[in-house]
Amino acid sequence: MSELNQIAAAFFGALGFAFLFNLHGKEIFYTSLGGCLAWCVYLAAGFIVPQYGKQYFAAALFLGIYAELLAVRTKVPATLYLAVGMIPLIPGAALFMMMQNAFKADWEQFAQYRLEAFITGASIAFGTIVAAVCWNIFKNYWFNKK
Amino acid sequence: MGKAVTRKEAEQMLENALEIGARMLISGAEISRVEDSILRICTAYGSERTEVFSITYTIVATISSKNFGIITQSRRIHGSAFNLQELKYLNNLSRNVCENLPDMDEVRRDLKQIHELPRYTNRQGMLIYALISSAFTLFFGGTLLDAVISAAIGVMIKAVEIPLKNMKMNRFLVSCLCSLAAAALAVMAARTGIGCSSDKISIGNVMILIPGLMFTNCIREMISDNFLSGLTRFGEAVLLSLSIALGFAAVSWL
Repeated sequence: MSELNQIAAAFFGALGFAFLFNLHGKEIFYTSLGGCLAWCVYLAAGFIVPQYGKQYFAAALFLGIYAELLAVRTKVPATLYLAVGMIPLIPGAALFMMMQNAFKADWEQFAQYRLEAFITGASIAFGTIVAAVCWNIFKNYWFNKK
Repeated sequence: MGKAVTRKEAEQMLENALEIGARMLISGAEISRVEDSILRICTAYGSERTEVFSITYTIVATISSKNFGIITQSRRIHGSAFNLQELKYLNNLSRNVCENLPDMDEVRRDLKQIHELPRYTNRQGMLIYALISSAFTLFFGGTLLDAVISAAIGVMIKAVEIPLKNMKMNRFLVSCLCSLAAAALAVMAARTGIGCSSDKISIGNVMILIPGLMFTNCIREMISDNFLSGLTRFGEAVLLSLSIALGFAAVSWL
């Protein structure tokens, strides 16, 4: 049940950022849907490999492919789908806890959250880049064949 | 107008290409997209050799051809504000320009039109902040009560932010003061004893202010070979999260 709540919250959180980034029209729905589905993938990957780094990687990989597919279909830059879809994944909480522990001078906790923020950020970045590279290879192959 | 032949035409063309690139960069495009767009536009208008270099704060472009010689122009970029609507239209414009080679007056008119597209008003902005705060309070495991209080604080954050932004205050200080207000309100709400947790409320509010997207994007830039831009953005993200944490820490010292 808490998973369902989280997925719904991820959708509305992404929706809020879609508005904040000044999107209008039907893109609002499709961009936030990307964030919601990416969180579903994160949770689903948790059943197979319960390690947050790999889970974030899987979610970002999915998001990257989703973004490229919809970018071609709707003829807008993939950045739109990536920027909004990434919102539920970004290490905001870890980044915040890291800095707060720095002010408390609790260096053990600080190091732990720093690692978490870095692993999360790097996994997401790698996931989206791998997706973009795979998409380019696939696209070139497909167009050359035609 | 077709390909640029005279030097004057080429100068105007490069100016507009840089304007499109600069506006894309401000609205949140990645460096490679900006460089690629400028390169494509210049090549379409008949530049034989185009060199574009862009980082977070500047774009420099040189075009050369037998017809108009060598021309270099540069552009300084001030600030950035995610505006994906504008990015979408600029991307369409740059594609259209490459395909149809329109007159420069027409491009200027289109650019002006894109700049005048509707934005959300401050009142709508308050609702947006409320939506984001309450959604992320629930996301990180807060109760419904926490979410309602978090939404109310989200509205207050916007109310604090608007006058500060109008004063053109330093943006690190703006985030610091916003987070100070958010933390103070969250602690006050928790102390009234209606059974809400200030941690869960704060984490929802922090998601509005924290540069998480900037942090992830800067790692993406670094991996895709734009190391300099990635590093400057990384420094910005760290400094912004420090100033937000300072605001929250100040409340716990009080």
